[in-house]
Amino acid sequence: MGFSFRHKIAFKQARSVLLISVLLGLISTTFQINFDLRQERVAANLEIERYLSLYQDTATTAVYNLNDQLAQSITETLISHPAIYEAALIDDFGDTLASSERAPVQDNSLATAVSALLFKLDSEFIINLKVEGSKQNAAHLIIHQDTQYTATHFTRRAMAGLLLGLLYNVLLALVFLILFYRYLSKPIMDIANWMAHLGEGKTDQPIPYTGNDEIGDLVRNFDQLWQDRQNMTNQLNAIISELSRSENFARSLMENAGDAMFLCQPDTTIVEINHQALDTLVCGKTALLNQPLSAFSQEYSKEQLQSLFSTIDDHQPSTFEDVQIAADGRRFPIEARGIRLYLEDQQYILILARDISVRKAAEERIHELAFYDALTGLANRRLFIDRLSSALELHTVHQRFGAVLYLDLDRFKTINDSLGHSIGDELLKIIALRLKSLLPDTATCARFGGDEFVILLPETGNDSESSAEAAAHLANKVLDQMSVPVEIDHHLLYCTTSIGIAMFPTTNSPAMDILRQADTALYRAKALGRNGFQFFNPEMQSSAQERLELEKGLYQALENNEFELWYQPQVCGKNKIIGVEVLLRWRSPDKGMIQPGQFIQIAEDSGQIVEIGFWVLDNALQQLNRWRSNGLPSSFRRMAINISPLQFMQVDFVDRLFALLDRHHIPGTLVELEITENMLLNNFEIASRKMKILKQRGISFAIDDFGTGYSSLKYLRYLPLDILKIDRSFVSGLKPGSEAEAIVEVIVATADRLDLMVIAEGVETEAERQTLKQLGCHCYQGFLYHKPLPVAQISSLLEEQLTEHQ
Amino acid sequence: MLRKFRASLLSLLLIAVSGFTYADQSIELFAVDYPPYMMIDEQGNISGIDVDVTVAAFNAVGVPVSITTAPWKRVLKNIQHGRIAGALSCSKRPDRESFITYSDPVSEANQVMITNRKTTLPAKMNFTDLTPFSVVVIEGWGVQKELDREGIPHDTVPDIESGLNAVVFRDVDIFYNGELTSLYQARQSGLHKQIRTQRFQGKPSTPFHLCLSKGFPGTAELVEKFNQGLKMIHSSGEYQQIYNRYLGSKERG
Repeated sequence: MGFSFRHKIAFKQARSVLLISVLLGLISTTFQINFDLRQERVAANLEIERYLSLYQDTATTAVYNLNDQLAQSITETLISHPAIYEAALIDDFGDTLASSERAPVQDNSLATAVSALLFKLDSEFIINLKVEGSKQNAAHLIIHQDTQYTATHFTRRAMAGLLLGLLYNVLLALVFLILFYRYLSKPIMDIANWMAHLGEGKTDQPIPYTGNDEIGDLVRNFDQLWQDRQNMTNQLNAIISELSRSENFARSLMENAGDAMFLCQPDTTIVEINHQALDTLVCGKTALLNQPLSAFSQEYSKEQLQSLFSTIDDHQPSTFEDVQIAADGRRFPIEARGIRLYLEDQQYILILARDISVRKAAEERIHELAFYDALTGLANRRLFIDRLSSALELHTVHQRFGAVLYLDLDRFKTINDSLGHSIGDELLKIIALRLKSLLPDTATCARFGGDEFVILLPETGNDSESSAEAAAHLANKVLDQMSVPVEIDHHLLYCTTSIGIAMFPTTNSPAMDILRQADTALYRAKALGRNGFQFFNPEMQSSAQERLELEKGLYQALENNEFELWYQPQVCGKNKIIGVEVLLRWRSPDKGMIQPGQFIQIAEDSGQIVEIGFWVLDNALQQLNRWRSNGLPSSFRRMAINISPLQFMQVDFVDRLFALLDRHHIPGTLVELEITENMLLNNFEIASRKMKILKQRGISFAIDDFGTGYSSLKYLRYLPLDILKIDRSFVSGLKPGSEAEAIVEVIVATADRLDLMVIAEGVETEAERQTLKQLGCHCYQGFLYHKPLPVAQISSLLEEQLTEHQ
Repeated sequence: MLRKFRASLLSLLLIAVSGFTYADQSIELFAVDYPPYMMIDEQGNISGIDVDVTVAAFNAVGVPVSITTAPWKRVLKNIQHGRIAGALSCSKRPDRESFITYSDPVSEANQVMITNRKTTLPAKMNFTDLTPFSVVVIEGWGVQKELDREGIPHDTVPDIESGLNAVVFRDVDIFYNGELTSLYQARQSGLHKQIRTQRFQGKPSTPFHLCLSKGFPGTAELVEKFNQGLKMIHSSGEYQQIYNRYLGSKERG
């Protein structure tokens, strides 16, 4: 414990005191010298000035009297002052009355030179003496100050102060050194020796310092602590050995537990595990520790698991299920129980995980048995009813439609009886597979037992007609598929099926009612000769049938050129034809003339409307070209052609239309496209862009059926529209004072403000025309003027008007 | 008669010519205390023979004049630098020639022997005959320098009154000093009846002139006017009246 002298505290303290006091002394002395310097400078100048003032009057007298003896005595007296080495008295005539000088002090030391530099004393003093009666120059008393003298004087004083200060500081440090050694270093060294002996076990040493001060207090407290620590250590040793036994017991319990145990922090980090956990996760302890438990979980992310942990309390274990992922990739379900523990003021979550693969498999099996058909794997009756009920609830709210198809194999009993149950079962499996392959993902196919299959189509359409058609469509596909023969064990089996269809929702029918309706329809199908389908509702049967036929017919109609274009004139004022609206007719070889209302919607649903639409455009523009060649009436403005939303939204619509215009040499200004509000509603941005492109070619746009939809003023403001057509529903029976009149009035006023043309559709009576006229609508289309006319008649009509106007 | 007229005309002309110079502002001249030629009392009033003569001479030719005082050295130096017009009563000296224009003599000074009336001196004495006598002289005055120069032993007194007391009341034979000055002081002290003066044989008197600065503008004209005025008061008798006023008719000579 021996330190060299310079490492002792006393020396360090004294050295610090010396250094600090010298440093502070130097700083303060510097400030003091600087201050003295300023004071000295001022004082020196003041002293000279004061000294001179003593002789000012005498000097003035000497000058006045031109008394050179007196003057000489004054200058000699002046230079007797140690700070003045030269003095002269100049009279008011500029002559030197007297002058005296002596050699200035010579001191070439550096300190004096610096002082002299710092002093910056005024070396020359000139005092003007006012001479009575002299109107000319004043007399002067001039002295030269000996700055060197003042600087030397000052330097000596400053150096003396500096040296005294240094001496004082050294003495102070020496005194501190002795005091520090006596009262600090020495006791501390004694204490350090005493403590070293204590550390070596020599506890019989007397207390080395008993002074009643801080060190004495420290020693006594330390001694007390040392004694306490000795006692505490003995107690602790006893406790540790007890704990050690206890921990071994706990660890043994944990290691031998049948469940995997994970001791985790609240953030899911694993801090301890047992052997079972290592075995089930097939990895080493180091790979598990400090990993989040979620790293081995399939169902929970770290955040989810953390959230789950936060709900676990320290009284009641919480149970949850998860799928754990072992290091070898094996996944197995676990049932975990978690409880919150507090160990050493830290919170932990202890998870006991039990592999429940066997139980889960059993549960799954139970579920399958409960809800699925064991033979085919299809849903059973219970599951089907369940899903149908759900679909019914949903559809009642959302006004959607669905269908249930009830199937029965026509000759299954014969096959079963003749070829045996195994062949029958195999057939049922194959039928099930075929059915599944036909169905959309949303559909549910169930086997109710025997050869009864039921299909649930939860969503078939927005209205009952299209929904029925979709159901019929699927029924046809099922019938087709079933008619394909099945080969089982070298037996080629021909098998047909009958299908009963029930649509839902109907008025508050529960699931069982729907099934019953489908079953009823099935029996009707069987009664009607098997291998067919029947709707429970006969109207739907015919409607669906008809739509299917029309859709089928439409495919042939284009190929067989069964479409015709008719034209209905649009007139203004007194029967002047300003344009024609092109109307499509389908002359079916089977059904005769079919109106657009009967097939357009079907064509739109099936997508055929696009090609039909372009056929219309092609033929109509071709016809218009012919009329142009023959000459059109001067009042003729445009040919109006209806465009289906689906057609308009085709990517190549604009290109194809422009190509047709070019092919038939028709300027865009002669063409008016009639579009519906519905199209704009769904595709405003695209429609707007396309309309603006077409508008550049001069093509006009009319809103068909304006007023029946949302009639958003947004269309009118932002789209390049030209014509509003008042829907026939407002025109039919229009009379003054009716609600329809108010609507028409608003439409006309709106069009007027926006500078749009208005044409009323379906004008059939003179009364309607009059009312329209009074409301400001002057252009009409309807039976009152002309019905839709075939091409020959309209051509004649146009010719007539051409002749009239010529 | 014609000459008188001419003189008068000349005077008028001179007055007229110089009138623009002196009529509006008086000439300031300097004097020092040198009784009885120039005397300055405690109140600063200046009088004396030369003062009165000078004022009278200038007045005679219509030039206003004021007399003030200053130390003699300063006066001379001011004259030398042309800062003042001039001073009265100075004697001619070679070193003053360069900057002083002298007027005609205003008065004169005789350095004489002042003795107790009871003291008998040889009737005719030269300056060098002073040696056997006890002589006093005023300390530092020109007369002391004169004695020193001639090697005549002497004692000194601080002022005139002390010199007078020395010959009247002590055993001093001769007080060597200016004649008029000493007489005037004796008159002031009431000792004039107990003393007498005796001039040296062959020792000329020293004339006093009005000394005007050569560097001061218009000096030449001024001197001419003064000399004219001086002549005028001589002839009018005013000059003598002034002497009498200060010394009485009997004492002079």
